[in-house]
Amino acid sequence: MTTHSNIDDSTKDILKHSLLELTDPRFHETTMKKIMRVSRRRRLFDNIYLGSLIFIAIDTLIALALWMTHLNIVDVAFHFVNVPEKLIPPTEQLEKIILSNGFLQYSFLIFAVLMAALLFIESKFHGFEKPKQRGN
Amino acid sequence: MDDLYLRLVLEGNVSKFSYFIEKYKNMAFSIAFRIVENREDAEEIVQDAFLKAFRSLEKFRRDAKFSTWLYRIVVNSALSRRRSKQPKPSMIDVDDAADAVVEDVESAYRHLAAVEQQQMIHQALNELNVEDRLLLTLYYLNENSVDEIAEITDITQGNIKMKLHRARTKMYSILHKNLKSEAGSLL
Repeated sequence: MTTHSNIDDSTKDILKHSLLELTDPRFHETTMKKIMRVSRRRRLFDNIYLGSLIFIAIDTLIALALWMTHLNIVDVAFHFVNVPEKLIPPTEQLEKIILSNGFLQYSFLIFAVLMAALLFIESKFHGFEKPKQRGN
Repeated sequence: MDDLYLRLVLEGNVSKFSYFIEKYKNMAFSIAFRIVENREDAEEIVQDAFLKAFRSLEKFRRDAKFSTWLYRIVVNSALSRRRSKQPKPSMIDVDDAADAVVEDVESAYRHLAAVEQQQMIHQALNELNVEDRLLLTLYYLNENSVDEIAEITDITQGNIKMKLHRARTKMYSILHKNLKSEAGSLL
């Protein structure tokens, strides 16, 4: 009578011959190349993402500073503005100043476009490649 | 050892992923081949599985073994590839084999040369259905535990034990039949 563990051992012994080996000598190399490519793309994506976040943060800080100091960037750039005079009492409505700066709108627009582009790149390159069809 | 290399890869040393490819490629290939029954497809599945594993490495829960997680990816990819192609019907329905058959097969099998043994086992596995092949490969060849197989295949542990028993019995019956017809004098 064969015991359960004996059957297991015999089966293991028989099945050890069923291990298959990859015959393509370049398998390791090509797989590593693909992995390195994925890694480089991911790093690029991460850097762009981080860069855009820093850009937005700085942009927001500038906008906030302008809002707090009641400065209109368009006025400063194209007209003579006496900055100290501007900083003293708020003579204009704050909301109007922010809107007229257009700076926030600009940054959000850039951000939206940038994010859309990144999402497109991400889905195009980070998505799983469709395996090539080969004949049997 | 896997944990160490996993940490290195996650820290940015991507070339260390090479260790996992070298260590698991043949077993992953064996699993994929047992499901798709085609070398080229199996190779592509294994390559895709390594890529998927690399991309999702940060999501990998350390409570499971890396190999279990990788084989699960291989099994899922291979099954979906197989589903997308014409499914092959189960080839054989074998009655239960008695213990005597196991002993007969084992002793006859030992008399064969290594190459013949290889051919015989491949032929027998080909005659089994995909699930039986997969379970036998995972349990007896890769020596995965029932818990690990449950995680890889999504089959309950109770079912695995029952299916393993049936698969093994079928395999012995097929081997018995094949050994009888090809090396009759041995049985």
